[in-house]
Amino acid sequence: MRSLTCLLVLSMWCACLPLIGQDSLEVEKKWFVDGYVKDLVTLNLIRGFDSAWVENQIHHRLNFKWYPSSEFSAYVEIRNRIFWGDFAKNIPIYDQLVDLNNDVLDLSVVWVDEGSWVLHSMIDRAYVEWNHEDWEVRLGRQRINWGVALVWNPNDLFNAFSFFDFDYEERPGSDGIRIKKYTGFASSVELASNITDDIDELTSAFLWKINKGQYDFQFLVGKALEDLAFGAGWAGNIGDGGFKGEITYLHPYTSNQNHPVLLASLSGDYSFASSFYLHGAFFLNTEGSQNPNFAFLSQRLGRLNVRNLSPYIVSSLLQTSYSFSPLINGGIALIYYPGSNALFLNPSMTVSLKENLDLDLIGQFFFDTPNEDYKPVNKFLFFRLKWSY
Amino acid sequence: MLALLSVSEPLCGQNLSAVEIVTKADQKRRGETSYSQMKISIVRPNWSRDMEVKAWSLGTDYSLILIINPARDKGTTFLKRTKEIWNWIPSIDRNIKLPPSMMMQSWMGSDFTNDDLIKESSIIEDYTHRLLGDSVVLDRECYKIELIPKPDAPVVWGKIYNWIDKKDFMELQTELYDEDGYLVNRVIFSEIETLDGRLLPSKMEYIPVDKPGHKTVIKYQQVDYDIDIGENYFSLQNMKRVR
Repeated sequence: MRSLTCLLVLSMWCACLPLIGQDSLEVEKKWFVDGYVKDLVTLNLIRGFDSAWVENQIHHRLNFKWYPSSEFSAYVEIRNRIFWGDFAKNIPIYDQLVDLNNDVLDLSVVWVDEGSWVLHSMIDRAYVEWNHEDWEVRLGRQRINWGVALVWNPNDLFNAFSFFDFDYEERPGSDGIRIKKYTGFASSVELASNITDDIDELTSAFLWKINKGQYDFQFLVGKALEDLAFGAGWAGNIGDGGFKGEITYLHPYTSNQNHPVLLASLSGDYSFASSFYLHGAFFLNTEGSQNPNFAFLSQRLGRLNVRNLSPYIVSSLLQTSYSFSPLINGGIALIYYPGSNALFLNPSMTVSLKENLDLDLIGQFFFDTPNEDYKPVNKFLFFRLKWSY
Repeated sequence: MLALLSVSEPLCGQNLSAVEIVTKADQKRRGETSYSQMKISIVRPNWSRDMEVKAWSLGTDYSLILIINPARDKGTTFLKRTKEIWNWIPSIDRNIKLPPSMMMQSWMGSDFTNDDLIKESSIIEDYTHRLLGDSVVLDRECYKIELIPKPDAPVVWGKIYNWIDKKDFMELQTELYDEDGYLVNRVIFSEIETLDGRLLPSKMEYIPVDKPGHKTVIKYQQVDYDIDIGENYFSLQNMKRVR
């Protein structure tokens, strides 16, 4: 499998080399290539700047789209990353952390893992789509995104999302099949399943969406790994503000250690004419803990599933953003965990340097009381340059 | 048929009321349904940014906008059905319902609001119209019309002046005043072309008057009127499929 993946990745690289550097690539009108190149500098301020771990990551994403007819389309997307710095040097299993995946087909390669260097490639989308009238069928590695709320998504059974992992907005794909029939302008029925030979790894569910009274509602039932899953979600407005929510109840059907759990997310947002944006959200995890260990790091580095969206019982978020000019956007997000007083502080700023070239400055500070002493236990600074093509 | 219309319009135009003139100009520019491709440039004293979009519309209630440039936002779509707005982001395979308060915000950093672009408010129904007199814009004879918002109308302006070509019913200039009567934005139309058989300005400059060197320019690259799309076209399914 590894050699097949290598071959695939290499042939994709070669196929697109003549295309790189052009804007809005369009080859014979049926092929489209786009993506981005990012350079991300991470500073982990363990005690301060003197002892900081520094990492530089060059990240290239290539998206191929092929539209042979109006009904068929095919997509392959690949992510290549070069890590260089103290993380790779000091964490012996860093290559495994980078290569975390549990897919049926192993479509990732660690090309280099030497000293401070790791070079990693991964095909995280590879699917075909068939559209016919109201039908839409997707087969292959894809993102199945059932979330409605903006930060915590208990309805998102397939590709759970971590707010802390801001640099991977596409999320890993699931190897699966999705059959969807649209029954109205904002209503549909959908059956989705990942593909696996282990029944305990299977997530398979039915989703029903309707639009009533200017609200989008959705209901789901199925199984998610070793749980039976029942859920509902909505998106609508109160006055001019957005009002969204999701609830999922998971009931284990195996004799594992898990207990039944209720996960609920509630959010409201409002956008002022000045571009000032305000967003508040709550998340409840009845199986959460008052004081989980390594909460932040496990959320940042681990692979999430719907059960561990947040390890706390209650999580609350307040987020604001503001456009200082069309080129400069700033924002701050605060996540407070009432049971433990833990706090996550996340200031960010995006500057558009040129057309398609953006600079991001991001901080992630996690405050907790590990030894009776309230202090920032994790402090990360990120500088990111992104060129989209 | 079009030739006939262009002959008969100026004749009956003499007796038209202010609301009829505004309605004719609005219908001519908008069509019952339309497809357009346009370039939007945000211009500032020291920099500018361009974007290109494709847009489909049905009346004032339904619209669908696809961003084709810049590369960062390519494939992103916005759907509006009466009071509901959705945003499709292809990279995360996600549809997000947007709060109505988003309508008053600037469209992607430009000088006009989302509402200006996808028209939640109606230039016909939300205003009372009064003919002020005659004027000349771009060497063309125009009507000057005053629009005052009706009480409770969802608009931010206190007053609008509209200059409309007497012969071809083209909007050639607009001035937008705040509730205290101060001029806030001037909209200048130019580059008159035949767009899908209709004589219309193909360029629109939206100029905030208190900010020298600031403007947003819309240049229509292609327009098709009265295309065969119905209400069903404006769906979450089509948001993902338009290219």
